[in-house]
Amino acid sequence: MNQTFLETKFHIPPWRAGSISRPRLVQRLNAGLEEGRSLTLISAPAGYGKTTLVAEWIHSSQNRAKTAWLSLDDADNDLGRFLSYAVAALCRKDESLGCGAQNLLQMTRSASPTAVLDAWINELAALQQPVCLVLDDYHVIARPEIHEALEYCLDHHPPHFHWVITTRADPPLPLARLRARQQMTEIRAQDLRFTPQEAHQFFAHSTRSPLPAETLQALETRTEGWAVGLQLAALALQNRSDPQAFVETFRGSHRYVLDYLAEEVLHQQSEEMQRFLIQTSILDRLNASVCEALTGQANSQALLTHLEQANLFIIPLDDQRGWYRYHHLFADYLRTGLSSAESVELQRKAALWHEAQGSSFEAVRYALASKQPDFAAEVIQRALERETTWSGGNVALLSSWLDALPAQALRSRPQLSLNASRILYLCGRFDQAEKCIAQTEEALQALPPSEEVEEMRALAHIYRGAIFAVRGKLPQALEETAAGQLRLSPDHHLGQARAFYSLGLVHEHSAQFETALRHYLRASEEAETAGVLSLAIHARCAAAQLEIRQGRLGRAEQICRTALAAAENTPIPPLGLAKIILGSILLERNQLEDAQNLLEEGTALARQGGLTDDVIAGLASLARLYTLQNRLDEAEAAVQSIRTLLTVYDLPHLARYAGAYLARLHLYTGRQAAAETWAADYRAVRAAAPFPFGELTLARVLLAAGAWDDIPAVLEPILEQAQRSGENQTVIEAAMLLARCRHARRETQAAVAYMLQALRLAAPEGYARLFLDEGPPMQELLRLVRPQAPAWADALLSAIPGQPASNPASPANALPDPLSEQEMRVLALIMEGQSNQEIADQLVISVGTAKWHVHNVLQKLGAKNRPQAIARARELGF
Amino acid sequence: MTPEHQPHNYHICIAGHLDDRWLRWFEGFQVTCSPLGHTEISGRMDQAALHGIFNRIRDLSLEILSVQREPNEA
Repeated sequence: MNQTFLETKFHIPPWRAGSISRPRLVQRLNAGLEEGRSLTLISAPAGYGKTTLVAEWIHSSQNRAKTAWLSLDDADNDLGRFLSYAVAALCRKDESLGCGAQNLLQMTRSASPTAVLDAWINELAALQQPVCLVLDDYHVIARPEIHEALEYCLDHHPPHFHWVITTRADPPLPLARLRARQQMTEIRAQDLRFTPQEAHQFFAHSTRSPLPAETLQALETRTEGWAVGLQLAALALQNRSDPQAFVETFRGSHRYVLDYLAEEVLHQQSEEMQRFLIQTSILDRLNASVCEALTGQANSQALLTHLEQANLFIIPLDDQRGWYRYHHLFADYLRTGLSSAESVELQRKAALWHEAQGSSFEAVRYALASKQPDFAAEVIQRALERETTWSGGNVALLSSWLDALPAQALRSRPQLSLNASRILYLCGRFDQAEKCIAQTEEALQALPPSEEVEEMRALAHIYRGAIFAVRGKLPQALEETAAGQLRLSPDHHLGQARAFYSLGLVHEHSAQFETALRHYLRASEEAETAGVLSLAIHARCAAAQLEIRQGRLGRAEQICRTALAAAENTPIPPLGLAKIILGSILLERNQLEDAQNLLEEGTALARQGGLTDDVIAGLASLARLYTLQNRLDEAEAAVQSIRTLLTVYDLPHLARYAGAYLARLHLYTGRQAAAETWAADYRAVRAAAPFPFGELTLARVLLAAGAWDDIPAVLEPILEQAQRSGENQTVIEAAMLLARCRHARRETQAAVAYMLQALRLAAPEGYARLFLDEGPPMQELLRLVRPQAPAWADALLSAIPGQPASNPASPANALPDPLSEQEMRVLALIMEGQSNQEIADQLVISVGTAKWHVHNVLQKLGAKNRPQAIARARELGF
Repeated sequence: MTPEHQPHNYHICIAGHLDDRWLRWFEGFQVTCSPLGHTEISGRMDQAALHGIFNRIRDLSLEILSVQREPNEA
């Protein structure tokens, strides 16, 4: 989703001091707030003055609530967008209002409704002063999940929070229940009707000379107190010498009265103004510039100002008098004055104006509304040529454009069809993407050869190659990409970059890492030359991740730093991943502070761009970092966000990795049962879909459970395979875990051999946390290998705070109340995730005694629970 | 009860006469003025189309007097 908000949606409509005041209704609104009701529902057809009433109430001195506004429109029929706007509306009012929920939303971008709502409701529950959120025009909302979210909020009603809903149709909320429990103030058409007295007052205000009583009476009867009718009547009467005669001329249904009066009011305007009103009526929002583009009137600003002064159903949308909209009923009326041909022409002009302003998305909306497929196709094509259209990451929206075009529009436009294939590829609609490529090629056959045609042909091959690559069809991917590259001019740097990227992917899949690396870096250089920074960074990140797989942290670090330098601090979203990778490297090297900055910045950037995969990568590392820092609540929040993201988006490729990753975090914080649950699930699918990270995690679960004998069967094949392919990160971890396993089985010689194997690869690259996180058993292992590898062992041992390698004093002494020897043993078992029963069994003591020891250990460490104790113990270097 | 997917002929009667300018809002449907001063909107529609018409009627602030459905012939 595009995270920039339309500020005009938050604008509270002004209330003119000259407007008629409706104290009886304002009082009811106020009473509802003062009585702590959760909802005010203002439900009536268009033109009853719903919005005006709320505006008056907000501007009145009686209202002591802080009030935020949200004007809804059709586009808000998306729960994520709806919540983002609702939360942002409050944050606009006051930064302390629900900004936690806003952060969560930015993390997840689309909603996990309950997580976001719970966070939000909790924040709102802390309010000391009344706060109110107005949802204007709620009838446009049709999505049941939005109604459900609102109902949820009403059920969990924070005491000082109040909703105001204006709508033309009753929303599907439990209104009867709310009514019965007196939790709702309800204002309906009958209430909004102007009483004769109010009508009287209204005309006294708005007409120049006082109206005779019978005229007023007739007006009240004719308009039935309908606000918009009264308002139009007042305008129509302004230049009438004989108001009574005029009033006699109209009677009938609301619609009829409205049409009659609107026509009357329109005809009182100059011809210039009439034309202006009708022509601009197709705009949802208007300012002087767009009006000028549509009407050719150079004095558009003056006309708009005049309309506002004349109170002609025009509503300012900001305080600068820049943007306006017409009253919906009035706009609908004005539009009926347009012929179809005129309407098409105006939509076109509106599209072109927005295009010239760089508002591609609005331009496309008007272009599609023009119902001229050829024109719309051209506007879409031009929108797709802008890099910013792609960088928003909203491929769902882009694909909805394609869906709105008739197939014919694509068939005759190879360039558009080619871009369409790229969009479909990014959406994962590979079959359709391939169809578009075929269509492009077919259309190209009819064209005379030219440089441009040749280029599109080449790109068609390259895009098809990319699809083969993600489908794992490696030979075809290679063939297509090579064919494309041959045809493509070496000067077409972006095309070349995409081709090299596909080649990188293909070679990575077939474990040809050096070749893959070369292609990724080449892709990056080409993309840089083409000026497409996002792809340049993306390719470098792929290269860095590949280096990490090979255990080369130093080179990965270098690549990330190059990416950061190339972007020269242009904070574009893909840079987030570069920061996240670099942060993760520093985390592994135990440079926690620098790691934290990079990870937090990187995750925030990725969030901005909606790059879900990157956000998950960032959150995963942050969860680990926060755990190490004993900031367990924050770690838990990060984990929760990962889960939310995985549920909201269907991300099978990440889900299995994330599941294993979370199981590791569980082990680290002593929640062995949760890790076991993961392991049980993994075992069920393991035969069909094993993967090294999963196998390593399974070995860790076995290690924590003391099932040492089962570990070599899991790890040895992994180790062997990783050695063959050069995936040294896996080699290091597998060897380290095998060392721990052998050590536990008292096979010291084998343990030392594995440790040396791990350290030989790990130490020069600065791996640290991989070892340190193992806790006390690792200290013993390091001391065992110290004679053979003193520098490496000392480097790691000295990384443990309060424990210089040369003087291995017990960290237990660092506590004000040191742990006894038995308590040290208990702590070690706690850190392995053992239950009280298991501790009792191992130490041959009763469960009661075990509990007692555990209690003492926790107390001495100042920890409330086991996870805290473990984190604290690690901090102290146990 | 099986849900009704088939379109039916509906007649929606609204209060007052509707100006011709609004006919475009009901394109594809028959709009007739009755001598009794009402307007009838008729056409073959399924449930979604029917609700679309209701929304348009609401947005025009028209008053619905009645809605009738013709039984489909077997």
